[in-house]
Amino acid sequence: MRAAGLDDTYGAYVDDLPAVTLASLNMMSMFGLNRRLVGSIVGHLAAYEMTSSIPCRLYADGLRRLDFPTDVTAYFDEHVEADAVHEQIAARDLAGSLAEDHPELLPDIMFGAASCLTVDGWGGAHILEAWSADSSSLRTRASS
Amino acid sequence: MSADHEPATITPYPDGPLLVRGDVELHAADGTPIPSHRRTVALCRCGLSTLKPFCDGTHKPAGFRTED
Repeated sequence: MRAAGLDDTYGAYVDDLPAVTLASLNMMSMFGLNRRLVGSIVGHLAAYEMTSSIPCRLYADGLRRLDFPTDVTAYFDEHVEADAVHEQIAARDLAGSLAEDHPELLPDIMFGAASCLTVDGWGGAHILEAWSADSSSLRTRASS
Repeated sequence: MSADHEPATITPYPDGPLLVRGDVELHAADGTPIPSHRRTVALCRCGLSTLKPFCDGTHKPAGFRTED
């Protein structure tokens, strides 16, 4: 974040973020902090890892195109290769094994995966709509 | 016997890469070592990765399928 000229203080930008972005993070925390939702957090993690590698490559290529330094691109480059491994481990070994050992959790696993893709999709759609309208997706900047 | 020395394993994941776990050295065709700094690596099986020999997840949009 520092290499990109951003403030890396914890929560520095939280007031800039629209509710739809915070909803994604709050949902993940809710799944992770409640034992009864263990199937949902496992499904969420699997869906997240399964959809991470290719976007990380696009982020890294976009940052390179805009001449950001290696300090900025390295994080995303790292996650292309790392998440190609994590995808298999999270989906097959973790979520697959949990579903086999506890078939009653299968609906929760699928709910967590679907929630990840749906709610993160809302956040992504919000950002793309703002950019398509030539405005910021951030709430404090959109009004200025 | 060293506790941290386990035989390497190679696991083909359905519709996905080969996961290599353990202490292995990867070499290019000319014998040059291929640097790898993680304990588990995923090797491309669909032939479409932009990071070969490593997997970059491209098998999914490509619709790569295995026989299992």
